Amino acid sequence: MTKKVLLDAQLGIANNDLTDHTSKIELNDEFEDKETTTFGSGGAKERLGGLEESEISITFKQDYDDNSLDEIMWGLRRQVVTFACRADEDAVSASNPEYYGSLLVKKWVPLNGAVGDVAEADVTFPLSGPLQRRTS
Amino acid sequence: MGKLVLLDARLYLGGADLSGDGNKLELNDEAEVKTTTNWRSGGAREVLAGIADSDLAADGYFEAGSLALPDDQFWATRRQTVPVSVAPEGDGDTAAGGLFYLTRMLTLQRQVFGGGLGDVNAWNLSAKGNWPLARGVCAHPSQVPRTSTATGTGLNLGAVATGRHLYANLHVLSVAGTSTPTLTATVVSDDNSNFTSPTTRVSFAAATAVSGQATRVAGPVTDTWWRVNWAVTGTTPSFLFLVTLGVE
Repeated sequence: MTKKVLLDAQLGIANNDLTDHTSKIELNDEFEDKETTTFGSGGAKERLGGLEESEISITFKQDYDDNSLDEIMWGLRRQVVTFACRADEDAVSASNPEYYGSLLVKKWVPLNGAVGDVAEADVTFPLSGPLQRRTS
Repeated sequence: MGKLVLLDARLYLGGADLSGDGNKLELNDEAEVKTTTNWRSGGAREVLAGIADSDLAADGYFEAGSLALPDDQFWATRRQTVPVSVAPEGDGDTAAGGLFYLTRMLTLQRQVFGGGLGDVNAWNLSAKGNWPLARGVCAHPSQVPRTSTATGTGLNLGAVATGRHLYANLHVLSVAGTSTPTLTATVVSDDNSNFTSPTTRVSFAAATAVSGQATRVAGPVTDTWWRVNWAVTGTTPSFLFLVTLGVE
């Protein structure tokens, strides 16, 4: 895949396809920064990667219809559930990898905005367990 | 409903309908993150949800003159725990069954008024939850005046399992009449929509003034149908009130 504009990224949480309600995804794959600097480090910090502490930030367009976004996410609060996301709606492939794992629905934002705003929910969920990647 | 532009959200706090004086709302429900990482976690953090908390931030325009208006209501409820009910759309309070979030909150910070020369005088408010936040419904609409004793619309909210509660907020928004007009509201449940043998689950204190009450009843309750009943006394009495119910 060449460079691309995000037009049809995909997101599923707990086997619910939330693509139609998602307008932004930021998936961060991060490790603790563990310093191992010694007197022999030549004056520069040395470090190793510690525990993986990944998280995913999502901007949703709210929807209060029955069985839709608000009801789904309300029911998942405080649970560790599976998720999967990829940059393109095409099938998973080497050029369109899918990232997946488990996240903790630690927060939900039932209502946020000013008069005239589109109702949105901005949330960040920590991953529980390793972030995984597949290409098929 | 689908995706929507926020045009007519609703905020009730204590005995005040702040919808006509508010222009921004943020309601959050969040749990602590508790780490359970262990040697078999594969090098990745593992977490569970801890204690939950909720908070409200709201902005609006200053008005004073009665408890139905923001400044009087905020002043009367400083450092107090008050019922709070929030809806994303106006139809949430025009008929029973509309979506509402409800809890009781402690108002911790308020900008009393503010603005520069030429600005509209404005307030903002921060409050923290003192109970779990429940996702529920309007059980009695706020804009229907009640002048006599009657029963409300039956709502299928489901049973209340052990360890959970039925939360109920009463916001008395206006009182008219003489000879001490009094509103006494109760919440009843039954196993059928005809309420052939209802059981009273919640009894709000008799209200004679603009005010708010938050209460709850613990499960287990196997009944799935719920309804608000009210008794009105006095001479030419008339009440406007909102009741919200939710199971959490």
